Parts: sequence; structure tokens; C-alpha cells
Amino acid sequence: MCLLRSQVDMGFTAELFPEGTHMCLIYDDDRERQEVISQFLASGISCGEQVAYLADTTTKEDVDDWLRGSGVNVVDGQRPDEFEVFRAVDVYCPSGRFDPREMVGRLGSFYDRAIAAAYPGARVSGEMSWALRGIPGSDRLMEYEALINTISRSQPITPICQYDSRRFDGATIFKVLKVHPLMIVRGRIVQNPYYLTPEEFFAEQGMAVDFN
Amino acid sequence: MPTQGNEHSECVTHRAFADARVLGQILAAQNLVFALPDAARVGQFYAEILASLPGISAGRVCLGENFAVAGTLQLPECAQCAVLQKAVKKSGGVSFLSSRFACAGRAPDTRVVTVRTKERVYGVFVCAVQDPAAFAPYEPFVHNLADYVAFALENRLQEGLLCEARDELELRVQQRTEELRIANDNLNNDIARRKRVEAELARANHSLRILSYCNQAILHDYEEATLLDEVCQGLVDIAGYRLAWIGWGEQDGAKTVRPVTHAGDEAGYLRLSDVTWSETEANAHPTATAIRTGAVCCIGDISRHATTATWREQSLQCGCYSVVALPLSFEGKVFGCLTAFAGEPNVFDERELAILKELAGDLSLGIAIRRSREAQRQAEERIQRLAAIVESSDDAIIGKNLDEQITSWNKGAEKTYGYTAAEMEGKPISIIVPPEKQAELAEIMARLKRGERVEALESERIRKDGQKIDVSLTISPILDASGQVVGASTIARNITGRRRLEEALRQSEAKYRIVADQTYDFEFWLNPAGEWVYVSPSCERLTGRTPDEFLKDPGLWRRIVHPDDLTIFDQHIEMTERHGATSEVEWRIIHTDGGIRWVGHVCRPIFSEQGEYLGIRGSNRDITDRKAAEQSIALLSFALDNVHEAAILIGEEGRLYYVNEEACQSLGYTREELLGMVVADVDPDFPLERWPSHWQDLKSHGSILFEGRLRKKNGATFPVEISANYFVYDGRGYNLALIRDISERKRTEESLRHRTEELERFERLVIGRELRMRELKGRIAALEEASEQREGQ
Repeated sequence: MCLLRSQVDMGFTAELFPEGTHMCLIYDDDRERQEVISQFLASGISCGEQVAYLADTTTKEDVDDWLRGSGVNVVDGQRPDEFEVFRAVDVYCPSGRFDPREMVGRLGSFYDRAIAAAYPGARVSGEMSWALRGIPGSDRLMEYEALINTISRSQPITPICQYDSRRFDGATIFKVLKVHPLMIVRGRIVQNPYYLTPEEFFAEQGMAVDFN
Repeated sequence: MPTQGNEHSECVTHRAFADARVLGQILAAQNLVFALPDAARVGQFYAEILASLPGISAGRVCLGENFAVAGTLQLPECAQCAVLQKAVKKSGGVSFLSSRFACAGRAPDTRVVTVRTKERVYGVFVCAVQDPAAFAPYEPFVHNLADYVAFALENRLQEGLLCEARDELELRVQQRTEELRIANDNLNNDIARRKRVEAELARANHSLRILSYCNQAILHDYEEATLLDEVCQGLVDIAGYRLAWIGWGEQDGAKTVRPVTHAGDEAGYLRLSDVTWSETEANAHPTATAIRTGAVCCIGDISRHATTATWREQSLQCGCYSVVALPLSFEGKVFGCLTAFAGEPNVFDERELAILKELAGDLSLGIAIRRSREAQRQAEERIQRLAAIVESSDDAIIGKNLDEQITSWNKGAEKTYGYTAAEMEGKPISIIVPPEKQAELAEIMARLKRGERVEALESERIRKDGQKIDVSLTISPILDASGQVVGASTIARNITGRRRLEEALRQSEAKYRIVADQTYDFEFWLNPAGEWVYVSPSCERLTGRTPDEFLKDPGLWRRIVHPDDLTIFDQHIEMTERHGATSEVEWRIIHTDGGIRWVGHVCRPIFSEQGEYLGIRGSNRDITDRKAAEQSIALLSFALDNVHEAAILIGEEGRLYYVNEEACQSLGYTREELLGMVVADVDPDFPLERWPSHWQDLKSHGSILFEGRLRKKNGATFPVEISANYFVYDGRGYNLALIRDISERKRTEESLRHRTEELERFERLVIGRELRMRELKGRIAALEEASEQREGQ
């Protein structure tokens, strides 16, 4: 299944999805989150993809433990950059300010470097709670989420955005629905009927966006 | 999904069809209710959902105290919200209202959908309807959504209640568990206490068994050695100790502990013979410490005991891990130790030690009783023995009290004095004392009362038949346990016979002295004590010392013995003491003039007619001249044996009386063979018939030198020159023939003769040749003269 690069295994469902599928995980149960995310990461590693995890409230050791629980030892036999854990703020706001376009550019570059390094693909998962700390530009989070959908064809990196509903309010959760074409509900990937294409989203927001 | 109880709006005409996408959105939103953690977020989320529905301009969600509004229009709080807020109940983190709650805040353009289940009301969805027709297809789904949210909240409430119940249950379980734990602990404590009591009871029974066994052994009529064996074996077999042994603390210089018995150490691991109780340092054996200090010495764990002593390693080698040493003592004096080893550490606890101390005390007492009995038995035996001795003694042994009354009278007394014991016991002792000796008796009694002893007092007593007898008395005071004189014992020996003998001896000695004083030899008599009784005056001639010097100084006789002969002297004294009479012994003494005298000493023990040993009687003879002669003869004999001429002493009958070593060697006979021969056996020129004429010839000339022949044992003859010398000794004539082997001389003479003959022959040849030479020279001269004459012519 891994060989069919247009379709990827998310690890926690039997169904295959196109690479570049942008999903959100809205959760209030850490155990459920761990099961979904660890299998998502483990599947990427076992398929030889380059995998990154952007941690905000967890540590590298936590993530390594999750993977070990999924039967993946991140130390043995992997390429040095095959799987890496970064601090979310270091990736999302390396300059101390969040810029949606720059972040999307970094995601695209990550994918390009993976392909250049002969990885068949790339996947990433980020904990989004960093956006609740008042970091400048973090109010543009939904803009960023909408922009990701614009690169899914040219640089089909496969991301899962983690939203802890215990931290985000209900209105924000409703907005999250609008920018993710698929969402993970109770461990299953479902189509999101609230999803707005980038054009629709930005039109609704009254923003003129150059998608090029 | 439960839908019962929902309040539907007034009858609505469905003029439009529901959009599938919107229906999908409602379903998706419905599913997300479980991902929202609380009523506040539920309200916020669903207010947005309601506001997004077609025909709705704003949405409001009131859930308990949580109010959320979304949409383009302001939807003010209804009046009921305040009531609602006050009526809120909470459980499991979820707020709810009375089941009879109904929202009173209706407005004409609003739809109010109660969020409720059959049980509870959780709040309301309020929708500001802008386009009722557009909203109409979705209104039932909003009701359904409200029911679903209510179901979710109910579910959460139930979960909360369940959690509360679970928590309460867990709390109760914890409390009950704690109660049970405490009860269990108490039960365990009870069980442990009971086990302890049982163990203590078992130990007490065990200890009692040991004590009972050992006490039975102590009470049994065992001898001491058997008792000790039994106790040690009991400690091993019944008490279960690995080893037990008993040792006595000897009062010798090395303070050794002498093992007397042991059990369980058949292999002899403990080397019990090495223990001494003099050790005071940390390495001391527990047994040594117990004996030395008189206190119990217990080591709970030998493997942890800080000592380098070999007993520690030996103990561990045979599996002993704890030890107790119990001193055995009586009347405060430690005489030994009972030591027990156990196979586990810390066996000897307080209870065990108390039992063992009691056991050691009982054992000590048992041993003391046995020793006391044994001592009593020996004392009784001794008394019986003494009584037998007293009864069988020939001496009179008499007991009397201070009132001079006889309390005992033995067979010897009956024999000595003629009275029976029945006649004398209870009678005064004065019965046997002559009147003239009564004062002596009073004096004796006075001395006895002072605790003094009377020894070897010679006195007189009267027999029953009136005869006076001489007695030698030894009288000793008899003391009671407090040391007070309560009587006296008298040993009386009848010395009448000895007195007579001494008198006879004295008279005999006077006679003997007359004779002995005139003897030439040094006569003497030594009494049994080795003192001179008599020394004859002739001692002065032999030694230069007077008899008085010898009598006053018993050691003088040995001191004048020549140092080189002291061994002979001492051996003789020893032999005489052992065997009585010995043969004559000779040694040298040093005379006062510094000269040496040879003494020929003979002696023998002498006894009286009654067989009484009287000492040694002996005689010393001056044998200096004889020894000198013997030495001369020995010298002569030595000289003759060492000359290189054969010497043969021949008697008148021709018999050989002496031959020297050279004669034996020359003739090839031994000395014994030659001394049995006559001259004819060795000299072929003197047959027996010719010897008398030769003897007469020699006797008349005194000495003759002549040549002859002698025949060896092997038959060969050789030429000799014989110097025969006649002399008379002790009235008899002898011929001392000195014989020289002249074989060599004869050979030389023969050779000389031969050479002489040759020289004579040579001389004759030379003379003949000279004569011929002269003749030739004459002839040559004649020829030359004739030749000259011829030439002259």
C-alpha cells in the first residue's frame, strides 16, 4: 500500500486516503489522541516517509514512548532525519511571530526536501495549542489552515492538526471545521461537510488572497 | 435518538426541501458533541451551528448557567434565563433544570427548542428565524440535534453520576478495604500472637523435656561419668543441639580444659583438647571465658563473631552457628563448663538460656552430690582400712579420753599388755602404768591437753601378768572438728626384746671391739642410716685419718676416694644397697700425706638373730703393694709381648708356662695351644729323652747360648739362636728361653760363604793368569832380546 504514493495509509484506519489529505483531530481524551497520532506517525515511518512532529504540550520522550507502544523503535535502523520531534513554536513562529504563508512555505519545503532525499513522501502532525498563548499572528491560524489546502496538490504533505477541545472554545472549534476537508471523529476519518475551499473561506472572511 | 418530550413549534408547512449538505453538517455537528468537554463549549459550538442554518439569523444556546450566542442578529437574553440560571442543578459537571422547566422567553420570530431528556431539562436552543420557509426543512433536525445534545449531556451526567457512584463506591471500598485490612492485621496479629504463644509453648515443652531428661539423669543412680554422657547426649538428641561437651578447668600451670565427654562431635572437629582457660583476649574460647569468669558466655551468631581464633572456623566447619558456655560450679567455685553448639544462629534466647542455666545448676549440684558421696565412700573405706590396720597391727594402739579412760584397745594392745579390749575399755590407762611412772603419765596428759605430741618416749608399763615391759610410746592428741583436744591415741611398741638384744650386742661389741681394734685392716660398721657405728684404729694407717674424724664426718670416706674411682665407689654403694653383699671392689684413696693408696673393699649387710637389719659391716685392706706388683708384672708381660724375640718360660719337666706374642707368631700357634705343649713339641733337637741332660747342663751353667731349630705348626722348621736362662722362683726352677729367628742371618752367612768361595776361585784364576802373564812377558822379553841380538848380529 505504501508503494501507491497517491494513496497513503493513515495507520489508524483500514481505508487509504490521498496523500496531502489535510485533517483535524478534535479531542478531549488524551488516550484517544495518543492512539490516533502514534499510529499515524508509526505508519509514516514504516512506509519510509519523512515524519515530523511539532510538540507543544508533550515532549520528545512522550512521543517516543507512544511509538514504542505502537511497535516502532525510533532509534533502531532509522535514517537520522527520518523522524524528528520539534518544538511547535520553533517551527510555527521561529521569529516569535506567526506568519501563515511562511509556515505553509516551510511545510512545502519540508516536503520538497523529503522527496529530494528520496523519501517517498512526508507527513506531519502539530499540536495547535501554541496558538492560545497570544503569540503575535496567532489570530491568523485559520488563514494558515486554509492555505495548507492550496499546496495539497503541488506539495502533498499529509498533516493532522490537533485541537484540544478542552483548550479551544466551541466557536473556534466551529471555525476549525471550516478549514479542514476531513476530520477525525472517534478514531475514524470522515468528510467534513463544513469544509470551505480556500477561495470560499477567504471570500467568507472577506479576504482577497493570491493563491499563487 | 430520543425525541420524546421535545417541544415542536407550531405546525409548519414544508415548502422547501432540505439540502443534503446542510443535513450532513447537522449530523457532523451532532457527532462532535462527544468531542466537546463541557456545557460552555457545547453552547458555543452549537450556537454557531444554529446560526449557520438556512433561514436563521442568530442562534443562542442556554445550557444551565452557560449562555452562548452566535449569528448576525443580537438575540437578547430571555427573562427566563435569570430564573434558569438560579434553577440550575449540577451533577457530574453537568448543569440541568427541573423536568417541568419551560422557556418563557418566546418571541414571535424565534424558535425555542428545549434540550431535554425524559428525566431532565438541560437548556434551550433559541433560533432567530429570519426566513421561516428556508428553516422549515431543518427544524425537525434541530429538534433532533437538541435531543442528541441532551442525550450527550445526559450521558455525561450519567457518566458523572456513575463516576460519583464509582468514586463513592471506591471510597466505600477503600474504607471497607481499610476496615478489612485493619481487621486482617488484627487477625494476623492474633494469629502471630497465637503462633508466638504456640511457639513459646512448644519451646517451653521442649525446654521442659530437656530439663526433665537431664534431671532424671541427675536423679538416676548413675556414676558421674555416665551422668555427664547422658546430659551431653540428651542435649544433642532431645534439645536438638548440634554438639555438646563438658570439660573440667584444670588447676595446672597451663590451665587446660580437660574434655571429659562430648556428643555430636564424633569427627572431632572442635579439637577440644586445645582449649585452655587462661586466655583472656577476644580470641578466647567461650568455654574458657565461662570457666575464667564464672559467667555464662553466649555467642548468638558465630559467623559474625569478630575473632580470628581457630575455634570459630572449626565451629562453622561442623555447622555450628551459635554457642553457649555454662560454667559448672559448686559453692562459688567453678570446676568445669557445659558447652552447647546449635546449628542455627541466635538459638539461645532469654528463655532458652534460663532453662540451660537451671540445667547447669542442677548438673553442678548432681556432680557435687556424687563427688560428696564418693568422698564419703572413700573416707569410709579409709576408716575401715585404718581400723583393719589398727586391728592387725602388732603395736598396741590405744585410744583414751582426757579423763584418761580407755576408749579403744586393739589386738596389738591385748598382745602387748595381756588385757582384752572388753577388760580395758572404759578403764583408766593408769592400770598399765607402774607407780614410779605415774608422774610421767600426768606430764604426758598435760602435754596432750596443750595439743602437743609425744614421740618415741621410752618407758615402762605393766602387763596383766605383772611383768614389766619396755615400751616405746608415740602419743598424739585427738582433735574434734573445731580443733579442740578430746582425747589421745597411743601407739606402744614392746621394745623389751630389742633392749635385751642391744645389751647383748653392746656386750658383744665390747668383745668385738677388743679384737677389731687390733686388726691390720680398716674395719668398719655402718648403721642403717649410713652413719659410722665403728671404725677400727687401723684406718689411720691406711688413710692418715683418725677414727674420730670418720665418726664425726660420714661424708669423709667418699671425699678421700680418688676422683677417677668415684664412679666405681658410687656403683658399689648402689649395688650394695640393692643386692646386699658384693665381691671385693678396689679403688684408690688419697692419704693425708698426699700419696695414693689402693684399697681392697669388701662389705655385706648384717642382721640380728631376729632378722633386724643392723647396717653394713666391711673391711678395707691396703693393697697398694700388691697393685704395684701387679702393675710390674703387667708391665713385664707387656714388655715381653712387645719385644721382637720369642720368649718362652719352660719348667723343669719341659712344659711351656709362658709364651709371648712373638713366640705365638713365629710358631703359628695360639697362646692357649702353646701353653699345653712341652719343648719337644716345638724343638725337634730336644726330644723328651734328651731334655733332662740339657736341663742339668743349663742348671749348672745358669745360661747357655746356642743355635738350634724350631718347628712351626705347619711342620716347617727355621733356625734360631736360643738364649736359655735358668732361675728359681718359689722353690722351683724355670728356664726363660729368649729365641731369635736367625733364618736371615743363616741365609746371609750362606751367601757370604758362597761369595767367599767364588772370590777364592776368582783369586785362584787371577793368580794363575798373572803367572801366565809373567811367563808370557818373560817369553816376550826373551824373544825381544833374542831379536835384538839377532839384529845386532
